[in-house]
Amino acid sequence: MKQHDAEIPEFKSRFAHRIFKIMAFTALLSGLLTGFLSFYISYRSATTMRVNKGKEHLKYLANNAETPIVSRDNTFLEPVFSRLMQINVILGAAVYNLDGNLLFSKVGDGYENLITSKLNLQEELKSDSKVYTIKSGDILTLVYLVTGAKYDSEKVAYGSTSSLAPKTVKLGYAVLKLSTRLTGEEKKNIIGRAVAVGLTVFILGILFALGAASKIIRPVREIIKGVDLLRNGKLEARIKVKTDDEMGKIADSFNRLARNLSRRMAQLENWKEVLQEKVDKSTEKIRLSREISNLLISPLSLEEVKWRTIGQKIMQGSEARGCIIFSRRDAQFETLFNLSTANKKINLEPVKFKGKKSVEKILDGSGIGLDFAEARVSFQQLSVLDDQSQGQLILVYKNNDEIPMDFLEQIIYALSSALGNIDSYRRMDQLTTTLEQRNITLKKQKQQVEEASRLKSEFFANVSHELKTPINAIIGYSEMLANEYYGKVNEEQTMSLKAIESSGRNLLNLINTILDHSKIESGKMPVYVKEFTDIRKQIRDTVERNQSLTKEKPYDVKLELPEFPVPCRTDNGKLQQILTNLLSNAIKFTAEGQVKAILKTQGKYLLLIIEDTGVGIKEKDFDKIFEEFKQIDGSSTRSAGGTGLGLSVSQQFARLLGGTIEVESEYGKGSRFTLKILRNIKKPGSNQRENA
Amino acid sequence: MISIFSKIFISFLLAGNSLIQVIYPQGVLEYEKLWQKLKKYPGYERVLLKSYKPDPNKKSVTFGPEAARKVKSDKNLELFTAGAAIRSHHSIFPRQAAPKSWVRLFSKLKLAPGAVVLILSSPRLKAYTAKIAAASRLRGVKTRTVVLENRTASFKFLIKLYKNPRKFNCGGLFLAHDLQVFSARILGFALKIQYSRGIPLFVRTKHEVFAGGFATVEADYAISGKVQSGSLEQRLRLDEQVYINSKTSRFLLFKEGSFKDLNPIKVSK
Repeated sequence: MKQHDAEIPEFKSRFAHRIFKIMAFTALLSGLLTGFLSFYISYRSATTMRVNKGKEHLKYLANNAETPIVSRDNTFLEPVFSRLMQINVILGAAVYNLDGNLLFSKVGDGYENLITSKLNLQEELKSDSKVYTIKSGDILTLVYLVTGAKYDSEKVAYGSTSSLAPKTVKLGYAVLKLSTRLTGEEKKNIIGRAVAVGLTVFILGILFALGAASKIIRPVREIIKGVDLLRNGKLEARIKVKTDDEMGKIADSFNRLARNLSRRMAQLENWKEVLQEKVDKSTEKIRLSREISNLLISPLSLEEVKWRTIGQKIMQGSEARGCIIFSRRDAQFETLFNLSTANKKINLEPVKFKGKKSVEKILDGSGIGLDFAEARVSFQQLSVLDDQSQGQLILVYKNNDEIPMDFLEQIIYALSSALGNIDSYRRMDQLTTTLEQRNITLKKQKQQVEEASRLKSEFFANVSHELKTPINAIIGYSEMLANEYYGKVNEEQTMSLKAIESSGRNLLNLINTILDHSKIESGKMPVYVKEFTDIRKQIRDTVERNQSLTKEKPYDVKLELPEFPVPCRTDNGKLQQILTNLLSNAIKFTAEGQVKAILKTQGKYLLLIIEDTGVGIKEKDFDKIFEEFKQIDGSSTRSAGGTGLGLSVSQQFARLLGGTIEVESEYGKGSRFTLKILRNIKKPGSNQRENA
Repeated sequence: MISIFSKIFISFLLAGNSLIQVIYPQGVLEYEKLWQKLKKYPGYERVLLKSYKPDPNKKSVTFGPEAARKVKSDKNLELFTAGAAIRSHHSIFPRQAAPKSWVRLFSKLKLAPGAVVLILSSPRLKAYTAKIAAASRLRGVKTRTVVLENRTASFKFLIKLYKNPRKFNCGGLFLAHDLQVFSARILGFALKIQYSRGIPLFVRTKHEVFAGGFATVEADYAISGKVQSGSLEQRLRLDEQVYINSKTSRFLLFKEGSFKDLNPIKVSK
């Protein structure tokens, strides 16, 4: 109904205008089209007329050109020229002889160059006598052959045996130059005529549109009048249109609609009362369910809930004769509310649900403490999750009472959620207490572990440092003895001294590695940044120094360097140590084949790649090789030796240099270690590593 | 009978190369008429101009200027031309009236004081028109002779006359019998002057009088003597006759009977 109220006035006020607008638009289009056609026809006819007139003038010129051409005297031509030049569209006139040479001409002011001294005509033009037209821009040239009647002088003088027929001879050409541009007056006339015609058609169209719109709109107005009356509640309103056309059919349909509407309106009035009653009830129930929900939202424990108020509102909304609310905690049911309309407690226990959410039973009312015989009892399970019951809601009705399930669904959901929340809160509270206690214990343990680790690192640093001094002495003296500083030694003694020196150096390396690891772990490893104009030299020296490691291998370490200098700002000592570690590992695990060191630049990074064709690493072991004291294969390690700290220390150094070490390997075929560090370390000692 | 036999005999004797060719263009009335007269005499054959083939050994007679111009042989007699021969080595029997006949006709004009009869002549007819002028002078008729070289000069002069007749003070216009200079087109323009300016036009033949010319003294060929005797030149003579166009005469306001004593043939075309 509201929709009709909004649409009818709009329809009423605009329909006539719309019809009129359509017809007026058609009239306008017709006017414009007619005007344009008139303009086009007038323009064409003006142009054609001009050409036709020009042809007449040209023939007039040609007729008068015979004597002037023959006599080469323009006495008879001058008045013709003057007369022609008075016609404003003629720009010039001329007479040429048969060879196309100009004999006589006359041009208007400003057109002095219009007539040429030679008339260039196509050959075929000479053989015809019609008017030729040549258009060039706004100028139209008309050419006409000048002919003359030639009598045989002897036949004229001495008579002819037959009638005296002259011969037609070609004498020359008459030429007219016309302007095809319309004059202002002609334009005014053409446009004025077009506008007048267009306007007349448009006005006639408008008048027709007014008449037609009025004729069309009359029955429509009758219909609108009827609709208005109907809209204003006068259902007895009928439309008085007695035509057989579409309008008549609409009016008839409307009248039938109005009759049906009157009948339906009466039915609707009855329905309205019934619905109003239902709406009131529903509104009350919604209000109650909202109040119940509000009462159930805030409390976090069963004790805080106003169960009495809630129970009474449930009874009011569900129109139950009695209500019991149980909560379930640790498999035990607790009564939260129990009341009947007779202010008595109901004698009912919770039931067991077997796969259902509600159970309905008909019981003896007096048996459970009520004042009516047959009781219809609805047991509703209160559970958020199917397998976890938070309680039960029992509602008691008389046998014939209707149970308002829509209200109950809301209440059951609110009760279930509240009981669930209360239970969850209780559980969470317990869990929080437990976790807090555990945290305290863990904090204590962490402090203990950190202290132990610090003490270990300090111990390693101190012990390693204390160990280096005697080891250096052992290496130094054994070398001096082997080099016979203190006198001659035999071969067996030399071998023993070499073994002492070699073992000493290995031990020193081990101690240095342990010392580095300890420093890194205790956070005392300094970074000494230095600027290098070309780091290639340092890399080359380091590789050369390590060539000695391959003296028992059938290959040398190959080095590939860029062809251009590589400027760099880094800690050279750590870079060399990483390179040495990677090279020694590669040589250690490569019995034959080759080891290759490659230096590259990649943007702001420096890449140092060590490739070998050694035993390789299984993919599952990629993460283990960088772990401290870890060695992936017992057998190979035993043959190669090592502490398992080399790669770990190298990785730590790489991080200090703002980079990382990445490994690619195929077991049995070889490995490829890539050191990727920053070319330019800005702040020594800080963590320079960036994510690539 | 004797004459017929002798005619056949002479024709037989003259058969072959000895025939005199009578050459003229087809379709001209007066030429046909003269041939009809001439063909009665033996020793002539007609050759139409379009089928004429030059033969320097043959004697010929040409009718009119066109045929005379085409025949280059010196054994040719020009007829239907006036004044001097068109080709100087041709003989000519000019078709022209006696100058005094023209003067008699001129004297019928009522010339205003100072007015003259304008004689338009050509180089070929210069001598003949000079005789007319001299004869006129004797009769007290004032003339002025203008010799025009060709048709263009004729046109130009006539246009001048048309534009300003008072300048020439012309009381009559005489066109000399030279069809090469005063062609049919010139005649037409001269007729225009006659009608527009009121100047009587004296033309060359009666046919030109039929065409609108005011008057002429026509000298027409006639053949005298017997069939067998003498040459054509010896037997030819000219019969003169005055022709007046009545309508033109009335147009020019001449009184009826003004030319009565000239015994004219009046033409009313």
